[in-house]
Amino acid sequence: MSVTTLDAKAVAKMLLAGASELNSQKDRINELNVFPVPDGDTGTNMTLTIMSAAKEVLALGDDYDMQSLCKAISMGSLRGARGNSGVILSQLLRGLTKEIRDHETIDAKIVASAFGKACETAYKAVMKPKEGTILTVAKGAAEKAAETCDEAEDLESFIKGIVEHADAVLQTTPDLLPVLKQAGVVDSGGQGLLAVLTGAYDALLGKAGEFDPDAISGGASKGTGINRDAVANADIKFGYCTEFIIMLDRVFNSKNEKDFKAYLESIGDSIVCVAMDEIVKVHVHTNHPGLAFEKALTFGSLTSMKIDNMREEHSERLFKLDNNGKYV
Amino acid sequence: MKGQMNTDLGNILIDTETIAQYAGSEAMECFGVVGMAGYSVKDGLVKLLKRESLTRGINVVLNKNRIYIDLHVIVAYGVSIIAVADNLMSNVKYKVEEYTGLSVEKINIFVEGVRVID
Repeated sequence: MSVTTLDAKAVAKMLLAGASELNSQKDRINELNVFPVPDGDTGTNMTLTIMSAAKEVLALGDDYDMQSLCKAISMGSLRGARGNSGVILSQLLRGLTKEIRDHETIDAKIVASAFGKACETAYKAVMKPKEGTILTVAKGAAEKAAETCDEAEDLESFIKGIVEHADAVLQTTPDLLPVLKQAGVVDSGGQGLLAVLTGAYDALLGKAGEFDPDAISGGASKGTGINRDAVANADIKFGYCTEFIIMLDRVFNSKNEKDFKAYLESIGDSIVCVAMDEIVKVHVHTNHPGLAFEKALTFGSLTSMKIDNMREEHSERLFKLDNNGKYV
Repeated sequence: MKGQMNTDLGNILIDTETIAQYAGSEAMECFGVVGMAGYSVKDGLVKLLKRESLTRGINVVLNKNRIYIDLHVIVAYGVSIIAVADNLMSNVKYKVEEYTGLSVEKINIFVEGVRVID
């Protein structure tokens, strides 16, 4: 069955499928997140953004036209925008819907101009666009669409071409952004955009499953929360986040510092040890906070001691992460 | 006051202007920010700044090796201002801390204008 045009219902279905696909890849995308701030929340942020759009779309019920659908997508994603990639995604959706809202049915040419508009809108919203990010992937998709829309016979092969090209562009992101190369990953935001496109393409082929309204709460949903909890709990090797400040009684030179760090490394990880004037600030994840304190006491008295059980706190932290978009 | 670090070989002093430049170039790469705004006391007009004077929209105060940054920005129309401001804070904080080794205590964002881009 070949499709040459899309109506509002088809567009809505593609958006919802894109949202579910992104949701299912969320955790993997979080792991890719090293730029601009390596806080591992890109997938969560993008999912929350697009889920907010999906929610508005579902709220329309069954009776809507292209105009009202576009408004719902654009407003929903704007309101729900979170994090860098989320804001860019919302801007892409805004540009896209701006172009298609005046057409009741959409063909390949309109898809191409909508992709172009989406990309243009996103690029205009930043002074110094950084290449090797979600923007580059969006640009690649838009260029491919503009190139091939004239000879496109049906939307299936047309969109397939765009998705494949977007994937190829995504694979080049480490060459454009050195920090990605160092970490050995592709750009997380770009991966997220590709997930949305892939989901939309699957919906076009009729492969996508029904949209699960429970997924709307994105990262905060109970169902996925439990899973992530279990996974992440297994990952915590050292259970106590220990922080304190040493008020130095004696000299703390670089040799002392090196020895002290080496000792901390032997009992834990995630070590931060910064000496400044008369104080040393220490942070370590360990299973034996007491040992860290004892060792530190040999250099002076301690202050601002804080120990948190990270395993216990984990669910709470996930909750905070989802609400603020970053670790706290 | 300058940022100060003491090492075995000597002292490192970091001027607020240096920090402002880092913060400015990072802010400009932040999505949704289309310009920095300098607040001119004389006519009270918020002007768009060119690249070379980008630190004018930025005020950096150092107190006991803790950094306080004020950013006066122009945002793009149609983006969530709260999300952009939030990103701006976390991006600038991360980069400035990475570059200087000092900790950023506060970043205040002043959205001085919005530019319609389409």
